[in-house]
This record gives sequence, C-alpha cells and structure tokens, in this order.
Amino acid sequence: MTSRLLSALITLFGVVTLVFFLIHLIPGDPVEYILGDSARPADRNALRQQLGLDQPLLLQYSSYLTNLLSLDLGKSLHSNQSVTALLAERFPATLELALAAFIIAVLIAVPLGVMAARRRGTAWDSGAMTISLLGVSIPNFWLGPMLILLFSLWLGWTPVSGREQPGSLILPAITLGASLSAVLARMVRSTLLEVLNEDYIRTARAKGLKESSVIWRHALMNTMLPVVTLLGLQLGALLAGAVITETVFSWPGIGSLLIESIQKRDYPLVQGCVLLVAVSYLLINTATDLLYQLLDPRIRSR
Amino acid sequence: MKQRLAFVILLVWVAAALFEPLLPISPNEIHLSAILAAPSADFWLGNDALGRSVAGRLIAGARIAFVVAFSTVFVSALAGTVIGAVSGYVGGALDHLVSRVIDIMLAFPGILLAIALAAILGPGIENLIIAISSVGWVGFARLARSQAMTLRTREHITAAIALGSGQGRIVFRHLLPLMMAPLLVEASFGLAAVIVAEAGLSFLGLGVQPPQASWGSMIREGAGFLLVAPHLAIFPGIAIMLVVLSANLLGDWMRDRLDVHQYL
Repeated sequence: MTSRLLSALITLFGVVTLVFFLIHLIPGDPVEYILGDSARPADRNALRQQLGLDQPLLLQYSSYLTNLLSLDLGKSLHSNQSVTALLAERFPATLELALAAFIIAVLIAVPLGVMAARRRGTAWDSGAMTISLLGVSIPNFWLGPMLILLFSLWLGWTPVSGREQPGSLILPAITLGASLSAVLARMVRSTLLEVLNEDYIRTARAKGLKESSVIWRHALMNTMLPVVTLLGLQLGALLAGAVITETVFSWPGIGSLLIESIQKRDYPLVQGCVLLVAVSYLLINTATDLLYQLLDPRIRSR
Repeated sequence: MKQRLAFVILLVWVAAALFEPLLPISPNEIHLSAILAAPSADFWLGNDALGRSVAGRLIAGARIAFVVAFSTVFVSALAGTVIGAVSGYVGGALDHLVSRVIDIMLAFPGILLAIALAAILGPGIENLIIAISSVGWVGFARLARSQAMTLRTREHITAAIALGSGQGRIVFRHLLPLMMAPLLVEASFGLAAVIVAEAGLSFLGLGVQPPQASWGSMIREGAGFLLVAPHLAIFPGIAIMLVVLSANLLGDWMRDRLDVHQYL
C-alpha cells in the first residue's frame, strides 16, 4: 500500500511538472498574446515582470513549486483575483454535476445490465446493448443540445441553462452521465453473466431461492468489485468530461471557467483549472486503487 | 451483417470526403434567399444561418474529420508503437523511464490535455493533429510495450539473437509484425475517438476555424438556432454518430476476427 502511495506521489509530481511546462511551451511570447501587437514596451515589461517571465525557466519552475505548496497559483490576469479563490468558487458546481451524473449513470446502467444478463440472447438483451452502443457513440456536445431542444424548448420541462433554477441540474447530469452509463451497463451485464455460472449460484437456486433474490442478493454483490473500479476510474473522467458539458449548459463550474479563461488568454487561470482537474483525477484514481485493495483481500496479499 | 453495414457507411463517407471537390454542392456558396431554410427538395438537409448548404458543409466536414482522424491515428500509432516496442524489448533504465512517462500521461485525463494543448498551440488543423496525437500515442505505446515484453521470450527471437541480428532488426523485423493485429484493433477504436475529439475541440472553438466546416463547429453554430432551425444541430450529430458507431463496430469485428484477446 505504501508503494502505491509513493508511486502516486511521483505521478502527482509528474502531472504538476507537465502542467507547468505545458503553459510555458507557448510558442512565441505570452505577453504578446495577452497585450496584442500595439502594447507599449513599458507595459510589456511590467506584465513580464508580474508574470515572472523575466526570470530563467528553472527559477520560474522552482517558485511555481514552492507557491504550489502554499496553494498559491498566482492571480488572474483579468480580474486580478487570486486563482485559488476563483477555483474554490467554481469547484463545488463541478463536483455537484459530476456526482449527479454518476448517480444517474448507476441508476440507468445497473437495471439495464441486469435485465440484459437475465434475458441473455433475447430481444431485450440486444435492445439494451444497442442502446448502450448508441450511448457510447453519441458525443455529449450533441446530446446536450438535443436534450435542450426536446425537454427545454419543445416540452418546457427544464431550464435551458445556468444553475439557479430548480431542475437545472437534470439535463447536464444526464448529458454527462450518458456515456458512463453505457459503458457501465455492458460491464454489469458481462460480469453478471460470469458470476451466474458459478457453483454457489446453482446452490442458491437449488435451495429454492427466488430468482430475484439470487440475482440481487447473491450474484450482484460479487459483480461489485470490477464495477466499483470502473466507477472510480470514470468519476475522474467525468470531471474532465464536464468541460464540454458545462460549456453546453453554461454551468458555472471549473470546465466553463477553463474555456472562458482560454478565450481571454488568462494563462494563470488556465493553468489553475488544468491543474485542479488533473490532480482531482489522480487523487480519485488512487483512492479507487486503495479501495479496491480493501474490498478484495486477494489483491492485498499479492 | 452489422459489420457490413458499418463498413458500407464508412466507405460512403470516405468516398464523399475524397470526391468532395467534384460534387455539385458547395460548402461555402451562399444562398441569401434561403437562409435557415428547412430541408427541402432544393436543399436536402436545409441551409445554415448564412444560407450555406448543410449537406455541402457536412461533406466538407467529413473531409476535415477524416484528414484529422487518419493523420492523428497514423502519427500516434507510429510514435507509440516504436516507443513502446523498443522500451519493452530493451528493458532496463529506458523502460523504467518510458513506463513512468506513460503512467504520468495516463494520470492526465486525455481530453483535458488535448484541450490545453489545442488552446496553447492555437486553432488550425495541423495544431489539432499535434494536440490529439500528443495524447493518442500513449495507448499505442502501452499496448506495444506489453506485447514486446511477452513476445521477446519467443523462440524465434532467441534464434534471431543467436544468429547475431542487431536489436533494431529484431524489433522491426521480428517483433512488430507479430503485434500488427492488436495494433490494428486499437487503431480502429482510435479512429472513432479522434473523430469525437476533433469535433469536441472544434465545438469548443479550439479546432477548425470558420469559414471551414467541421462537424463540431456546425453543432456549436446550430445550438444558437435550436428553436428556429433544429436541423442545423441535428444533422452533424447524426453524421458523427454514424461514423463513430461504424468505426467501433468495425473494431469489435476485427477484435473477434483477428482473435485478439482482451488486453489491458
């Protein structure tokens, strides 16, 4: 377990370094980008100094690392507010969206996968799997506008965008959760089919248990392990997928903040958004890894 | 049956993209009298807000989608396979370093890295290809590395070493040909993923720039006219779905056909 944590730490360091060099790879002069061609030389120098760009790269890197330890990510070029504060303001909305998408995905996928496995080879099964294949193939930047068209504009059931009105979470959550539920349904189906062949399931049936009890209490419990792993890995991916979904619905989270700051060429803010999502992704994946070991003693002993 | 349909769909799209300049519908010709026109006999899939034919723009968009998809998959497959195969075969410190880099890249959500890169490099097709390839090579590298590690103990490799072949010759002549099947499967799934990534980046305004047509930017433009002209957003989405679905089905089919076991 310690070796897992250690390797996660090294990876974390790598991710942090990658983000730094990503931003400093900008071809040409970022000051030029920010101020445009017509800026006065004095302004350029002032901005260069403010951004610390007049210092050698390695020095910039080391001060980036030390500032990071005190959660100081610099200031936004536009509002002059601290990047950390801006991120803290927006992060709850992204978490809320990702969790809601997660719950919706589970609520759709588990019944769908169980149904497909129980009626293996029937029209129900192939119907469920076709839906799931469609779910994987439909991009969320199309699903979003289509849901808006149907439920907000034609039926008038949900708000079009934003976060203030009640019910505004529903469409973004479905949009973000759709592809996860498609992958998950396939996984539930295939692991359940494997488990249903086991001896203890035959025993449970032989002692006269109802089929529903066999499936939900005996079989499904044992499919949880791979499912939990997939879910953990996907929760992190949901945070990244939120970038597009938030843009579609003007959801005020980290994703839409990232796109806004890219459009404004607000590089410290871009860096902060990328860093926050990447680090959360890594932390969630590491936590899943550890949880997996707790759930399955066989892996711990290895 | 499903696979044949998928193959035909892909073929039709690729052909349309290839012969786009010869087709009688133009993606940029403006019909001022038919702005936002709904689908009709004159304009099969209707017109957009500037009076340009949606059908023409879809085909032009297909051209972009396939150019980006094929070049990206080619670049990432080539780079990833060589890096992964050499690292897995040679082992030692090099392999240690490469697998660390792969771990770090995998710890980074792919779409986020592509968005960041596309934003930094600026818009344009070449930059799109660079941004998506920078993320895409990792999958191929991981696959090639694990393949090389299992294959290097095979007898024919030992025989080649005994015959005095150089390491380069062994990797390229004796290892790579054996990895082709799983790499081909990975490539066809990669094709689907890149098409979605290109459309996604263009949707965010980070990819193909106007007046060039991309399926992603068409959806973004169409999203502003959902109530008056829903066809603008509907058709490009169906195009993406058809192509992605077909590429995935083809990948599934190849995996079964080439007997590539689930690798992870």
